[in-house]
Amino acid sequence: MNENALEINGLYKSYCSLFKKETNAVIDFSLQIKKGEIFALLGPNGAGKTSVILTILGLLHKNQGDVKIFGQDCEKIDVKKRISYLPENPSFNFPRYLTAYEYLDLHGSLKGLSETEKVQQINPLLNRLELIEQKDKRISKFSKGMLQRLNIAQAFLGDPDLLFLDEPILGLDPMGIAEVRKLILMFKEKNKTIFINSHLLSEVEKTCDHAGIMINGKLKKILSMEELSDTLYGVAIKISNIEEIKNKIIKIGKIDGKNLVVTVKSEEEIEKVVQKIFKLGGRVTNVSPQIKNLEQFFIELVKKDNEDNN
Amino acid sequence: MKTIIKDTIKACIKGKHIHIIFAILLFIMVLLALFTPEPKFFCLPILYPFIILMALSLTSDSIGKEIRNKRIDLIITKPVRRFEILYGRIIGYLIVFLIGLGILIILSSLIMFIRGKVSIAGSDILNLFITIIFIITFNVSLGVFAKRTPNWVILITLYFFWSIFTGIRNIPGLGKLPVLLIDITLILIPPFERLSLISVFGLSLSNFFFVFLYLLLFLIISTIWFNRLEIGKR
Repeated sequence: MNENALEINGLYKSYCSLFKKETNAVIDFSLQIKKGEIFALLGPNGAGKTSVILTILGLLHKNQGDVKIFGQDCEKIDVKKRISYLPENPSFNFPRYLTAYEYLDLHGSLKGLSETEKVQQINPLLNRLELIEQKDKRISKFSKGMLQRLNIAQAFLGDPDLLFLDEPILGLDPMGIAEVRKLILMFKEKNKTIFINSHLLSEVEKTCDHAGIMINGKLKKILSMEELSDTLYGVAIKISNIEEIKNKIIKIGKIDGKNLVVTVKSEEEIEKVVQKIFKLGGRVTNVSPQIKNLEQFFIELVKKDNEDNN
Repeated sequence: MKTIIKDTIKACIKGKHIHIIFAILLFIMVLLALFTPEPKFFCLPILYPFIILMALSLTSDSIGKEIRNKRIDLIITKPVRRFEILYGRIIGYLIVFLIGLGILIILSSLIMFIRGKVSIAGSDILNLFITIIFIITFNVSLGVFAKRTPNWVILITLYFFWSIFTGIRNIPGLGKLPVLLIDITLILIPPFERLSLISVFGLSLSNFFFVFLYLLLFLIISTIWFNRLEIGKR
């Protein structure tokens, strides 16, 4: 049986204060993430993604709904032993008087690791994230990228079963991004579950199994990356005599150099478009299908939602 | 909770350099002890206001600041209960200050003994310890009510202002108010007058019970509030 690592049913979260109107940050949010899966929660700024993560982690209190981690209530101490969290923008929350090693030692102790476990895990993690040479350096002397690496090390410490990553590659250089990607995939191989909150859609596409798109507090769509890679978006048709028939084909699609880019939804449609071009006297030399990427899907969905609201 | 206590002690020493402050106090005390011609009441009591102010300033806003800079977010997501964070911080600060004070008292007694002068009154020492325990517990707990610095300033000002009214019974005319009303007001007022920064030595042992009862109630309220507090809210 494939156990659910995370199960959220009908989650509601709203903020209210004495002088402000109540705002609904999360509305009827339901989600199941299977063990060993990498899930990304996407959405425009202010969509409620961080509110979801903070509520799951028990930092915020839910108004309504159920959040279960490995079948148990998310606020239980036993559950917290199995999870880990990488907060967004960590530059403020470091105790700057500690060294990198002391910082990880502190978090290891908070996670309940023994002295031996800490020694076994901290050095390899620091090594992997290229911080081993700075392990005795004070955090106050760390750059933004180094802080993010240290924060990542903190999250991976203790070999958690479920990992919450809020903007994990923010502020990292390309080498750092590649290393984090490797770490995430290595984690997946160990059948661990990862919940990512990110704006970097191309990275999400490379690493995740599923992605949920959240808009205005609601989870609008859950996409499988496998399905997405099969979703036809359009076709680029190379026409050698495009200048001659320009006026005739302008209504079919968009002209881009020697290519005519046409939006299509099926392979049959491609055939029809190509036949039409032949009839208009076009000489087709190449046809390349365009696969819809996550970014296009995301933008379309957000635009559609905005239109519906207007 | 052990990790939180250790972290607090480390923060005091590495982050706030409290050992250096204590070393300076110790140096001043030794100088006074050696060079004051007639140290009748001895030098440690002179340092009391400094020690109290130090406890106030170092523990002020400690939890509130952690909430604001989001350091506490990571701690809460670990297998640690919220009350452990609050109590761990309080115990950590208490250990640092009580050890520091203990060293100061032992050394001052030693110098006193060598110079053959009047020894420090036991009640004075007890008084100082109780004052430090009160200030640290009260101050750290107060932080959970103040997610923003201005809130903390307002809270502490209100409490100090309120404490002025502990002498309500002595105000002419107000003695006519129902006794119960005055008594309720007095219970709510923190025992600053009995334990004020200036009249530290005015505390009698009979007030200890009231001080601890007040602290206990305040701690319970702070714990409940901290458990319900929304952290990470933007």
